[in-house]
Amino acid sequence: MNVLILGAGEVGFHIAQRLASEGNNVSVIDNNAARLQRVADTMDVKTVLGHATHPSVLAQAGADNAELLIAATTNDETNMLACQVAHSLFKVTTKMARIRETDYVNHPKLFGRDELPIDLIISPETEAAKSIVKRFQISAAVDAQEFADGKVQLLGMRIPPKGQLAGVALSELHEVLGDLRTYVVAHEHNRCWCVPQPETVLLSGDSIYLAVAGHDVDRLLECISPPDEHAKSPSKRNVLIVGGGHVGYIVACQLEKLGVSIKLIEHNELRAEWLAEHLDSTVVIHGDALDRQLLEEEVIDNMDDFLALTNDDETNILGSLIAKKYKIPHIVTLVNRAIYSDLTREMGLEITVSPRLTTASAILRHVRKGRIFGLSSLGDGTLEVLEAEALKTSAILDTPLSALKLPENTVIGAIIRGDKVIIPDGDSMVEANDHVLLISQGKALRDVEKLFEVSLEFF
Amino acid sequence: MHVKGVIWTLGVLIMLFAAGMLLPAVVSLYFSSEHAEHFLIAGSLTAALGFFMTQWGGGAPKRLSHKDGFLVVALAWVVLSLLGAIPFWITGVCDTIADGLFESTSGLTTTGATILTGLDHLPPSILFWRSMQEWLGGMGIIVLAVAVMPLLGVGGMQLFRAETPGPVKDKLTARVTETAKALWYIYLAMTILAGVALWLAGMTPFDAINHAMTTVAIGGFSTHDASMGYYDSMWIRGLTVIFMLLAGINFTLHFTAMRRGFSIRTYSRDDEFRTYIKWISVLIILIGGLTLLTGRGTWDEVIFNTVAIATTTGFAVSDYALWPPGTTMLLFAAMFIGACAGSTGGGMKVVRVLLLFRQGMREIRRLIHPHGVIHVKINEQSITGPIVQALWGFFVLYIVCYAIVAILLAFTGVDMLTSLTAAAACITNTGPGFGDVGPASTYASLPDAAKGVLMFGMILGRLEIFTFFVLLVPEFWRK
Repeated sequence: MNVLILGAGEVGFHIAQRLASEGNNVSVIDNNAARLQRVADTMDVKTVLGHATHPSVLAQAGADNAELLIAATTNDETNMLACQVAHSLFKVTTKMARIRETDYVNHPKLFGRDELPIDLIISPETEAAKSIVKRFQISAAVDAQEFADGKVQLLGMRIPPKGQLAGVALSELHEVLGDLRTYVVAHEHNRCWCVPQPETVLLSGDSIYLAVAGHDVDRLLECISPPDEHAKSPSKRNVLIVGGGHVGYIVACQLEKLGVSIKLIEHNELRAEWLAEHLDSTVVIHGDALDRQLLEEEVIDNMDDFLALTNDDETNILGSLIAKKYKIPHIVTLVNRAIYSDLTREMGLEITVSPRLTTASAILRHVRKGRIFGLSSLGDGTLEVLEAEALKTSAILDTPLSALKLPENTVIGAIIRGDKVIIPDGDSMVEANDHVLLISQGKALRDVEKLFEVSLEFF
Repeated sequence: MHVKGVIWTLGVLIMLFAAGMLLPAVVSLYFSSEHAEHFLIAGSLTAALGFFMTQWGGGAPKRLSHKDGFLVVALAWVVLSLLGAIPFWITGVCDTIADGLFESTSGLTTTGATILTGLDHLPPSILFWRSMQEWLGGMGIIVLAVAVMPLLGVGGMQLFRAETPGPVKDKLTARVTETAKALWYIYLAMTILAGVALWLAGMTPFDAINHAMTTVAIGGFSTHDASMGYYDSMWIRGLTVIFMLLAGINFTLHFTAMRRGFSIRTYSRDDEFRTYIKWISVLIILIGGLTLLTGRGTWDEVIFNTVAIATTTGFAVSDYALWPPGTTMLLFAAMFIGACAGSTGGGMKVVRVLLLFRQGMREIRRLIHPHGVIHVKINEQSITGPIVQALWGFFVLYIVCYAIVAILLAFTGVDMLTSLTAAAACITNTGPGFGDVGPASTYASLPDAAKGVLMFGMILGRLEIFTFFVLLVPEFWRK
């Protein structure tokens, strides 16, 4: 596939790298030579220096033959105009644009074939903010991912020492949870992630991922959280947000709606003024988040949540470590650079959010539209989540799951049949046109893909 | 400074005012009562003066600077108050020059303080002229001129700014003439509605017209000595309360709500409106509680009198000066807060008090969060430094002016209670005060010098201090 990527910033860079490594012909346009050079040095793509909206620049980058255009510059208007140019002059089939301003996104009428020809709007900051707010609401969970429009959720959590789950084997799980249907799809013990077996015993300190129907999330959390942790409703919680960039602002806006009392520290004076003007009940503080005096002035040890959301990974990580020292129960760290993502776990910062990764996976999901889609990763990345459609010809139909021979280290976490969600047990069967949520270890991925496609070859 | 331009503009305003002076003559002819000729003479004299000034000014000015705007507005209010007194003099209703001037100024500034007694026996033309003056002064005769005289278009915004009350002046439409027109249409519509409503509720057509004009202008002149106490009808009192409250709301807000199809949400989301309603409700509850506990009044009296004072109208249905001291003190405070900005009411305006209060809270919060960035907001919008500073300036000047007027009054030999409350009643454009100038009596007993001081206070209050004070600064006159 011929792909045009506009903008070689964090998002553009990452997407280019992923797409190029999967064997696509990628051209990257940027008006900053240094950034382009970094792209050219790192991966096998074509780079074009110039303004992303100019037809001549687009033509030079090969827009005539491109099937996909991803406009990921930092400027909304540039992105929208570039899509229009690509549509009108070059007939590029699929166009995606990064649009940060919610005022645009809130008007869906603006977009369409005869309007602004944008097929997918990507908003990294909004995506990141969404997942931060989500984790705020279910603070017992370390991670929460939505599939099939939120009908199924995968909740990542750590087994608390005094909770009901510690010491329970998976086969006995239903005795603890009663009629609540869940399925443990991933298990970590001693930093080693794997797909669990029925005889696996959950120990305190282990991490697990549970598949659960969207409407059961609250009940599940109520069941398994230690009693003192869910005592505080959102409106009684004190939240300290560090960094009032785009992500910080959106998160603060949404938390304000929940009635949370928020303090937000921003180091740029002008930005702080802007925030104070646009936020309602949030207390905006101008200062350095790593300034101990400032933190104590704002009684950091009284906080329930600490959200480190600056643009600077180092500040976020250091800030989170300080927060950990003050024993703040719930810490979220925004980390952009891949190298830090691994480090943060070592440091004991469990909840990290990466806008770049979230965006890249949103785009890739759209690119890979086919029988298998909805790709994301769990834990340290060794486990992959796949959403696959079971065709009439697929080999896995109409067999009880207990009898089904799935590739090694692979489980079916949920079956989505129309609007219904089935959290499977041994007797469940997959029917034609069901969507299946699979969790699989990286190595087994190819076998899984085959399982859903192979039957075609019989015809 | 464009002296000729200023003179021409004043001339136009005077001619417009003269037209208003001829209406009482029509009224007088209709009722076949006296004074038609006097109003004709007064109107012709005024029109002649205006015509002469326009000739001298030599045509519409190409442009008016903001200084000219202040000059025109301040002079206009002084000159029109002066000219408005002519009918009172030549008809012999007022004995002295000072009385006539006082009545005229009080009318035009919508204060509603009067020196006349025996209103019930005065000829209709005089009564109508009093109401007419309040009505012209309510939305502002200069705003009217901007609306009907496209010639003023260029300098219109300067004039408009200088006359309309409130800390922030919104231009509702692209052209200032359209904005002025919109405001006057709403004003006119509300007056007609009030007139019809009061007439249906049982007033005579003449009384209904007069009361509609003075209610919507938040003036407070009545055609009866007993003011609204003359009417023992719940309907009339209730309707008057509603129209007083409506006229005390920012007309810009009325306009916006109307454009959205009379949406209630537009009102309920406005910070100033909410504060205005809450404040008046609290007043009614407190005053009502105190009055009823001591058995000196009834609920309907409490509601009517409180709304009349809190919107700075100055009607009365009973002598609230006899209520317990706590209530009179609350009413005294209510005068100062007044109605909403951009309404026809007086006082310091709810939005200013609200902003000052929020500014105060901000300083307290800054002590708690030394590094906090805290904005003063109204309707979810930050109020920037210069506006807040202007607010403090206004507040200080307002209080200082009030104090000076009160002290000067005392110098003329007026007792302390009367000085303090008369100064407040005039500078806030309310009308009745306490003591010798309470709701049951008039300003007639005050010495002439005191009347002069109060007239000054009324114009100062109507033009919200700055427009008038700017003329007193030497820098204004420097080239």
